[in-house]
Amino acid sequence: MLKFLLNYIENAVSDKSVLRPPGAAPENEFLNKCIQCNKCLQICPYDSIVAAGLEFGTSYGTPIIIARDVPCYLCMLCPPICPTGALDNDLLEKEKVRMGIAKINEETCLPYLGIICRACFENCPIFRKAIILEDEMYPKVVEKYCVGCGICEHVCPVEGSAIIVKSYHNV
Amino acid sequence: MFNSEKFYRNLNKYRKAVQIFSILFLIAIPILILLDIRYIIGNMYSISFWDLNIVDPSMMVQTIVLSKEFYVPLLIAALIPITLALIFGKVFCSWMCPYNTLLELFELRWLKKIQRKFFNIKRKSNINPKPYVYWITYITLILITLIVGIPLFTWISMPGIISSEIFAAIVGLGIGVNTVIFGVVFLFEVIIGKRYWCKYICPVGATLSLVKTKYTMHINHNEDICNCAAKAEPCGNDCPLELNPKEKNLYPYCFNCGRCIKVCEVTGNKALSFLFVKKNKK
Repeated sequence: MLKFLLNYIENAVSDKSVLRPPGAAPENEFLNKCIQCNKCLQICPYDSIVAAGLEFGTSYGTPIIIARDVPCYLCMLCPPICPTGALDNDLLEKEKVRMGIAKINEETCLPYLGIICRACFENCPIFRKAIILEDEMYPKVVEKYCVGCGICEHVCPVEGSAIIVKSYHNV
Repeated sequence: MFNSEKFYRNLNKYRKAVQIFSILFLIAIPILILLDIRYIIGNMYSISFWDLNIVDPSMMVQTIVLSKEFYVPLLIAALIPITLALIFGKVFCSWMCPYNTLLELFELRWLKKIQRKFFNIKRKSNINPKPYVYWITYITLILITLIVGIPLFTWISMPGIISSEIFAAIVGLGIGVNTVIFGVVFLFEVIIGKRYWCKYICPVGATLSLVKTKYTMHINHNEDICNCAAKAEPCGNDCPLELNPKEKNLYPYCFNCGRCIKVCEVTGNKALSFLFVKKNKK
């Protein structure tokens, strides 16, 4: 029982795969600086940013983005209002955001199975740069340009999403 | 001309008005956000009025301790509360803190009676604890923050917890651990009725009482005209923190709510008053 609890806590504490709002410092630094003032969460017009629950261990209450529910639409309102610098205040261009990097699961992605689908390609805000179509068919992520907003993960028609954004500081 | 008698008599009314306004303000923020008006955002940790950023100084201390760097916009954002504390003392606690407002609401006469019977308290005159008790808890909290590396001040800051939970409850994010922490501390304080949290533990108040000069507003006791000394102590009896305004070591504990001054005015004794400059005692 105790071992289970410790394992649970350890997993929760070391879980660094969560998506942070744009401009977030590396996970440890972010946790040191975030005072949970909720301002990024309150200014977000799409309600993309939510407060982490208890399952995130010691980082509960800090802002996270669950891309499959509501992705970040890169309006860039939240970085300037962070009072402690947990989000980079000077970040204003959406192309410079590095929240995470999208990974395509080629086993479930529809084009790789022979069904035409361009959902992620057409919805990518860094259009024709971050997601390109190989042979006019197979989507590929260009890591150099991917900002990690999670819109692709949100629009993917496959159950559970065939394209998943992993935190930038964790890949 | 400034009518000090009228001012002191009405001081509590002004204070209650500000307290109610402060709570209504915390409720208004999430409602405005639901209406998509996002100019005044934040909570008691940090609040923004348009481009004006204000940060709780205790959060500034925590961020400096944890990240070990001085982020200039953060220092600037903490200037307004620090200046307020420099001039008026810990008035944030007595005039704005929602936790203090709630506890003052629960200062019920029948509850006090039960507490006195149950804990077998015989009312003696209050004794001001030595200041080092206050600083020991504060330094311990800072050391835990530093060694374990967790945002401890954020987790136990009562005004912050209350304000963020008000937001979460109204917006519908659901309430969680914070409410449990708040509930435990609050119930403990209401049942015991001693205000240990505000008096000894709260890091928000401790940070505010770090900044103090001899020109900071404080309660002055004029011994020459105080004439209910031996019989009763209306001032001490009304103090929410159970301090004794007549004795020394009133600070860093006192948060300048002015209830003792009001009682002193009402009894016709004018021995207590707010002063900005320290008078030399004999």
